[in-house]
Amino acid sequence: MFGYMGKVLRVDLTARRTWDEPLAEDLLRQHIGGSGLGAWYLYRETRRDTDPLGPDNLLIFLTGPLVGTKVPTSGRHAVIAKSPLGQWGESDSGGTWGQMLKRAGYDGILVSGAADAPVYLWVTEGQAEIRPAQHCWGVDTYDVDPLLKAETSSKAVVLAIGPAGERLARVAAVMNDGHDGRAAGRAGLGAVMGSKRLKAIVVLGTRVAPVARHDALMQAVKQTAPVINERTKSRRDYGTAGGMLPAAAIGDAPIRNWTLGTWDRFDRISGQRMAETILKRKYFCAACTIGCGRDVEVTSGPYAPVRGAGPEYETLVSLGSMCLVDDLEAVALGNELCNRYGLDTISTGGAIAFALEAFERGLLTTADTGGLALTWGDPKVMLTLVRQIGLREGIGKLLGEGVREAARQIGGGAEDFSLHVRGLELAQHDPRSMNSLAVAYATYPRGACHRGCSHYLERHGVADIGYEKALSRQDPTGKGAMVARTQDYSGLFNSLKVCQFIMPGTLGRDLVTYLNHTTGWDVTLAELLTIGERASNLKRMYNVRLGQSRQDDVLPRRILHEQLPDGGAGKYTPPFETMLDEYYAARGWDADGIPTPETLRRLGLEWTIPDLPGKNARAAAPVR
Amino acid sequence: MPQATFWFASPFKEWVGQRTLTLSWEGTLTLRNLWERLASEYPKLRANLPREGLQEEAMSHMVAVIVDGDILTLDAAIKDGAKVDILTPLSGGTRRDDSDRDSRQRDPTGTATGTGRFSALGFPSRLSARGSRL
Repeated sequence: MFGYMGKVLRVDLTARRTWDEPLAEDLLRQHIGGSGLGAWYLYRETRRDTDPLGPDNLLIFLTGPLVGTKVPTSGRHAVIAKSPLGQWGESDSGGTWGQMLKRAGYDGILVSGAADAPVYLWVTEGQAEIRPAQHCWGVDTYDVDPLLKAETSSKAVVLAIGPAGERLARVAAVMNDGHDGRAAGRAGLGAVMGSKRLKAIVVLGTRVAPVARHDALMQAVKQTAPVINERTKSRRDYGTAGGMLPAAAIGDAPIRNWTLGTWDRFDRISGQRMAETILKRKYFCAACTIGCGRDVEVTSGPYAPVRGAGPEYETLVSLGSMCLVDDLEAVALGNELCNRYGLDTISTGGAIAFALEAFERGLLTTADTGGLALTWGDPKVMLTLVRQIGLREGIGKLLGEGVREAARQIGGGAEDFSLHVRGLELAQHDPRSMNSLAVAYATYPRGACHRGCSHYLERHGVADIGYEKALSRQDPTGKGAMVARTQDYSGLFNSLKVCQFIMPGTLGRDLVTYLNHTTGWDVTLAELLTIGERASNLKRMYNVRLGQSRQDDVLPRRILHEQLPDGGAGKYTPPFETMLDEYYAARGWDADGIPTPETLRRLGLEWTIPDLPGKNARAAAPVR
Repeated sequence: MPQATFWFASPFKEWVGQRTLTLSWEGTLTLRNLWERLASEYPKLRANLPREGLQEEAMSHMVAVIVDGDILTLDAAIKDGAKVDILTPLSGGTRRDDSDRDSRQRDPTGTATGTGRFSALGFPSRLSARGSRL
């Protein structure tokens, strides 16, 4: 087998036992790796009634076939589990952990059960050991990194949760690479890890997966890497926040909990401002040629010291414009605190902005906040709430449940300004600016996720998946079908475990070339896109088995019914239901958003048909 | 004679040497015409245009030109009195030269040595030296 180490590590924390399990190549050709392969495992090994924070949940870490090669940006890993938000949960991260896991001898790690006391996992050169971690419990993710390296190797790479995950916050992330602050942030998977009392996974190795056609792969990389580098220059210079100013100009970047159309302070938290002030150097994940990561330093002033990973676009918006905080150094500190506590910055910022509005409306008072007046634009309020969410103290205990649960408990109409889909706070891109995001947010299996990349395609097009050029950002024509195709396409990046940021310099056929030269397969672009479609449908079926359908494919009221007063997204709301109908039709799903038996058979997912709700399952029975 | 004001974010500000610029023209000025005119007057900007030239998709990875909250396409006409923002792209970015590639790039594992310049494969050489063996 080429491109893979050929096995995963199984860990049963209840029994404190580990063992190796081989990977079958025919399974890999169906699902590749990353979140695609993770969907296959999670579907089969969890049940409809699995408690996300119970020992029966399966916590999965997976790389992909390109991880460990020189394919640009191929150093990522996926984290998958049933989300504590109640459905399919996936997130992914860069840094160096995924590459080092593969060097340690494994394509992935599957963790079941729960330990009776904190533990960490030490994996090196094909061996695994469960070690006690009581002394690490409560230590933040930056400080636990050297602690565990001292016990293993200075060259090891550490993946860990912080206090937020330990205390089961549903906005908790799984972090890796210590001060470099890489995060599998979304869907609350840090809480799943905390529920298993698994503090960390430390990996180190020197092994290399064989590549089928070494010289041909090197030639392909040589041809594509310069194009990728050229077309990602702004990301290298200014990070993802290089897109801050245009996002603000077209109304894509939300302000004040999604209520304002313009804000004259964006330049104070832009990537350009960071480059001029606190940026120390650029950070490259393993095998990366882009370098969008920021390494920052604040040495004086009220928010010093800050040293390490700097805030990227999503964080600058969530802790910045969403809360009307225009102090870059305060946001940098907020970012560091989120990293240390192990918090998803998107959901944390969303929860803080929600709390600010609830306080403004009188639904929260100083009696609820320990005397703290929650006022817009006050960096100290933002930072205090980050701390309270991270440590699950005070009002932070409630906000750490996420805005859906917080709104339910607060009541008084708070649901109207709690912006989430399936319990996951919206990413910092407004569907009123680029309307494909309306369908993308509503249908992505983990909740309101921008990684379906429809907004990218609206701006640039991807020629060999059928979109030659940019689309009008507020014209709904064809957007439903486009979202379906881009979810399948972007999902491939999550299966191969390459970064979506190479999209500007690659086409689908480049992914095919990378994959075939690495594995020795002869996959066509059409087949690869079908693999992406298979992953999308399997994740959908995971949620269908839980009872989800069209009634769950919804958007917050604010996005659908409240127009922004001005700006690039002003005076507009997306025609959501029409686009959603088109999306279902393009997917081969019925009007209720359920995959048809025919669609599932076409994708080789007939084994999920018994999980279809009533009528479809019965219709399928004779065929089975 | 129609005229418009142009506001340049970095790095365009550095390429044209000023934050704002007021230009006038006769007849019609499309965005494509603007880039041709700026390229002829500002060598640094010319040096940083995409190698494909003034092609829509390539330019979209280099720059976002925005008027009244909307991104202009290359053949859009700039109106008299417009305030035009020349911004970095929403994603990506294009540059032809390698002059910045000696930046303080970082080897995430700290295990390699190198000059920090890109190798022929386009990798920072530290990463290339450290990077995975195929």
